[in-house]
Amino acid sequence: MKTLIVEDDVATRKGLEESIKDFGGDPKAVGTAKQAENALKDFQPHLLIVDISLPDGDGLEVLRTARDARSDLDAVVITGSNSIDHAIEALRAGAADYLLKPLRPAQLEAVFQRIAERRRLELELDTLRSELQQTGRLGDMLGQSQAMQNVFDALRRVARTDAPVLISGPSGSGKEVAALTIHRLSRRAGKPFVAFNCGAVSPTLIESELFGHERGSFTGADKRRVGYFEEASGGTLFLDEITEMSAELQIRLLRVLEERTLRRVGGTQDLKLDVRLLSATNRDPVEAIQSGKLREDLYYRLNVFPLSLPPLKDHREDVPVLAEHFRREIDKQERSGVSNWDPKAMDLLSAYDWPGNVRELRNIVHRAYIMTEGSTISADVVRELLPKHDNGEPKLKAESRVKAKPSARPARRPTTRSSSKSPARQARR
Amino acid sequence: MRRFLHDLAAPLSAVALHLETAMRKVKQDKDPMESLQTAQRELEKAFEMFDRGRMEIMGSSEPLDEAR
Repeated sequence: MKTLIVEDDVATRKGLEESIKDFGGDPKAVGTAKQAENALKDFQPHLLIVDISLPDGDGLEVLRTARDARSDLDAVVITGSNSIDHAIEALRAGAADYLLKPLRPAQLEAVFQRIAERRRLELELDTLRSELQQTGRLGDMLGQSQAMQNVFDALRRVARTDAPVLISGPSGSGKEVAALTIHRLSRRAGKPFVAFNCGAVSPTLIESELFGHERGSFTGADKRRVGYFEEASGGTLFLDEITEMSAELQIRLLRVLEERTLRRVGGTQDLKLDVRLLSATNRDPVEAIQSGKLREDLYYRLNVFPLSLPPLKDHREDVPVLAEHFRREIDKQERSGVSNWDPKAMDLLSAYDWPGNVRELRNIVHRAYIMTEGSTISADVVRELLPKHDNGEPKLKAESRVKAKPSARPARRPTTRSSSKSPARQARR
Repeated sequence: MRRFLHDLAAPLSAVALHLETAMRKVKQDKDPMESLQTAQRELEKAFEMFDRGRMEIMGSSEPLDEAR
C-alpha cells in the first residue's frame, strides 16, 4: 500500500518510514505541507499519514485538499494533543483514524493493517464485480441467466453482513461454492473457511468433530482436539446437509449459536466464538421441519437470510458457458488439447434436464473431454454419455428430442451420476 | 506544561519507533545499529527537554493544579 507520511520531526518521520516498510507498505516521507501537496500528485498514495502541526501549514488542510481530489484516499492523522476537538475535526475531514503522540508502534501497526486489509477486500470485491459484469461470473459461480443474476445479487448483499445464511437447492447445484463465494466477498475473507458435511460423518463423531474434545473425554481421546468451530475462528463455518444432524446435536448447535460460546466435549471452560455460520440442505427446509428432520427453533436461527439455488434445468441457458468453463478447467489439468465444441454437442447438453445439476454437467464434460480424439468435442461423444431411454435415444426435453439426431451407435455405457462429495469429505480452505 | 508535553511527545515517538525497528532488524538478522543510534539520540533529546521543562516548572509561579 503506497503510504505518504507527512511529519516535520526528522527522527519520527524516519521511524514512521521504516515501520511502514516493515509492515509491508511502500512509504514516501515528506516534512512540509508544500512537499505533501507535490507528493500527493506525483506519488498517488493509497494512505496518507499526516501530522496536524506542520511548519508551513495545518495537516488537516493537507488532508481536506487531498480528500477533495481523491475521496478513496485513506488517511490517518497524528496529533500531539489529546483534545477531543482535534479528534472530531480529523474524523470530519475524512480521516479513518487518528494517532496520539507519543506514537506507540503497536497502535500504528494495528491501524495500518486494518486499513490495508480493508483495501485488499475492496480490491477483491471490485475484481469480482467487474468479473461479474464482464463474464457473468461471481467468484467460482457462473451464469448469465436471470435466475443466476438474482442469486448473485442476493450473494453480494448478504456477503457484506454477518447474518447466518441457509442455502437450499438440489444436490449438485453449487451450495458449497455459493457458501465459499459469500465468504470470499465478506470481511472475513482473509480468515479460514471451513466446510463440514454433517451427512458424511457418523452421528457419534459429529459432536467432537464440530466442538472438539479434551484429552480423556471418551475412549480413544488420547489428546485434545480442536473442533471445526474453533478452526473457523474469525472466519466462516459451512455446515452442509444440516438436516442430517441428530436432534440432540441440533439442540447443542442452537445453544452455541445463541450464546456465542462453546465447550469442548469433556471440557469445563466456555470458549468465546467469532464464527459466521452458513448452512445448507438439499431438502425443502419447511418439509424437513414437518418431518422432524430439522428443529424449528434452529431453522429460524439459521435461516436469517434464505438463499435458494435453482436446479440447472431452470437456467439451462447457462449450460454452454458452464460447459466451456469446465472444459477449460479440465484442459488445464489434462492438457490433451481439446479446445472447442461442435455446436450440436452444445445443443445436446442444453437440451438435457441435468437431474444431478452442475456437478453432473461437470462430470459429463470431463468424460467427453477424455473420450474426445482430436480437438473438438463432438455431438456423438456427448450423445453417448447422456442417459438414454430404452430405445437408445438420449433423455432430452420433449421439444429438443425431435431435433436431436439419433445416435448411430448403441449406448456404450450408461451414465452413472457420480459425486465429488466422498462420504468422508471435509473440505477446509 | 501543555507545550512541554507536546514537545516531549516528538522524541518519545521517535524512540519508540526506532527501538521497534531495531528489534525487527535483530529478528531478521539485520544490523540494528543505525536505528539504535537514532533512538539513543532522540532519548538524549527527550532528557534535555525534560530537564529544561522541570527547571521551568519548578521556577514558575504556575499553580500545580493548573500546570497539570
